[in-house]
Amino acid sequence: MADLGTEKNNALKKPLFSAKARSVIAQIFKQIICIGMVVMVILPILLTVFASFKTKGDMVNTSPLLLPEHITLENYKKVLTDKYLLIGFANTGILLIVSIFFNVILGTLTAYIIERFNFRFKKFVVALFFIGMLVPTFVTEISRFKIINGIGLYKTLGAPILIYVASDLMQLYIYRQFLANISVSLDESALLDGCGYFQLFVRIIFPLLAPATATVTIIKAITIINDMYIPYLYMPGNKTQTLTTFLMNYASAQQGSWQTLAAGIVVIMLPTILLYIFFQKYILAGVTAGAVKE
Amino acid sequence: MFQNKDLWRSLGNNAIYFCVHLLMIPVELAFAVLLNSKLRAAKFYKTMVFMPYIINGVAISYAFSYFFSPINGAFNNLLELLKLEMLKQNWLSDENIVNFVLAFVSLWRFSGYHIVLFTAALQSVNHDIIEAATLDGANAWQMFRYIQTPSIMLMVDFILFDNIRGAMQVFDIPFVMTNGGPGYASSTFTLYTIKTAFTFSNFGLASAMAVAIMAIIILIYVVQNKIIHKFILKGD
Repeated sequence: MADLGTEKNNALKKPLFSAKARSVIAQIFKQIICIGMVVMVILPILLTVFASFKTKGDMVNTSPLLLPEHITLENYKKVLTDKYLLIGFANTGILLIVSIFFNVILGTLTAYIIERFNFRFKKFVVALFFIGMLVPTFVTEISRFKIINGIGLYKTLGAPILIYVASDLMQLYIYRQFLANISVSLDESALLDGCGYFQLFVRIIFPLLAPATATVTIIKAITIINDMYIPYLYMPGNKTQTLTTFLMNYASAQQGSWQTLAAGIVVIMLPTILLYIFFQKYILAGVTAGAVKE
Repeated sequence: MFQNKDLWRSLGNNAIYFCVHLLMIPVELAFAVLLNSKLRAAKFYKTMVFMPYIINGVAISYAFSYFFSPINGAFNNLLELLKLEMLKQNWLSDENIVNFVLAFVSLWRFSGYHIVLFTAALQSVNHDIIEAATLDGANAWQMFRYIQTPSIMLMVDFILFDNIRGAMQVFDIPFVMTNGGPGYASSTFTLYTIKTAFTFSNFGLASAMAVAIMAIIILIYVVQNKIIHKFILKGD
C-alpha cells in the first residue's frame, strides 16, 4: 500500500515529458521557425531566378512558383551581351579600386594620428566625425551637390570617388580599436632605431592593420557596389553607369518583360552575394563593430 | 512648406515605415535570442538572416516588384494555391495597401541587420549572470525579460535610433518600386525632397525640408527615449 502511494506521488510530480524529450521538442520548434525564416529570405530571390529561365510563353503558362519544363538561357544572353553592362562593370570596378585605395590610406592615417598623437582641436576633429555620422546624408545633399557641381565633377566618375574616399566613423572606430592593441613600445623602439614617422607607419603600423583593412575594404566594397543614390544623382548619362544604375536603365527598357529583367536582377545581385559568401566573417565583424561603440 | 499636402502625406508614409519596423523590433530581439540559444545550424541561419542586407537594394526592389506584380505575380499565385483568392490585390497600385507592402519589403531587407546586432550584443552578456539565473531557476521568459534585455540596453537604444533614422530616410525601395505613386500615395519625405530639389530645381525649399527632417528625427528620438526608459524602469 505504502509503495503504491509513493509511486502515485512520483507520477504526479513527473512532468509530462522528460527533460531530454522537452529539449528535443524545443529544438524542433526552433528549427521550424528558422526554416520559415529561411524560406522567407529565399523565396523572392528564388522566384526571380525561376523567371529568368523562362520564355515569354512560359511566363504566362507556368506558375511563377515553378521552373519551366525547358530552361532557356536567352534572357541571360540578352543581359550579358548588353554593351552597357560591360560599361557598368568597368565603372563600378574603377570606383571600387580608386575609392578604396585612397579611402584606406586616409582612414589608416587618420586613425593613427588620432590614436597616437595629441594635438590641438583633437577632440573637435573627433566630434566632427560623430556629427557627420548623426546628420542624415540627405540633409547635406543639396550643399554637397552644389560643391561637386562647383568643382566640375558632376557627371564624372570623380564625383562618387570623392564622396566614397571620405572615411566614416565606423571605419575610424575599427582602425582605432585595432591600433589600441598595438603596443606603443613598438613605435618607440622603431623610432629609437632611427626609423622616421613615415617609415614607421608604412613599414610597421600599416601592415599590422591588415586584418582591420580587410574588414573595412569589404564593407566599403559592398556599399559602393550596392549604392544607387550617389551614381543616380551625380552621374546621369550612359557612359557613367554603374552596375546599379545599369539595372535601373535596363529595367525601364524592358518594361513589362519580367523574364528579361529577372536575368538582369540576378546578374546584378551576384557580385555582392558572392562577396558575402566568401568574406562573411569580416562583414559580420565590421558591421557589428561599427554599431556597438555608439 | 507646412501647407504642402503632398509633403504631409509623404511624411505620414514615413510614419508607416517607422511603426511597422518599431513593432518588429521585439520580434527581432526574440529572434536574436533564439539564434543565440542552443540551436543546430545556428551559423547557417545567421548567414541567411543577414543576407538580404547585403543584396543590392535596387535589384531586390525589382525582384519584389515582380513578386507582387498583379499579372502573373508570385504572391497572388501563392494566395491562389492556399485557397485565399479573396485576398488577391493590386499590391503596388492600391493606395491603401501600397505603403504596407513597401514597408514589408523594407522589413525583409533590414531586419537581418538588427537581428545580427542584437545577437552580437547578446553574446557579450556576462555568462556568470546567466548561469546564476539558470541556477536560481529562471525560465526562458524571465531570462529574456530581466537578464538579457536590460543587459543590452545600449544596443536597444542604438537600434531604436537607427530605426528612426532609417524610417525617415526611406528612399530606394519606394523610388524603384512605385516612384512614389500612384500620385503621391507612396511618396516618402526623402523622395519628395529629392524631387523638389532635382526635378523641380527648388533647392531652397528642399534645404528647408532637409533641416525639418533632421529636427523631426531628433524630436522623435528624444520622445521615444523618454517613453522607452520610463517603461523599462517601471517594469523593473
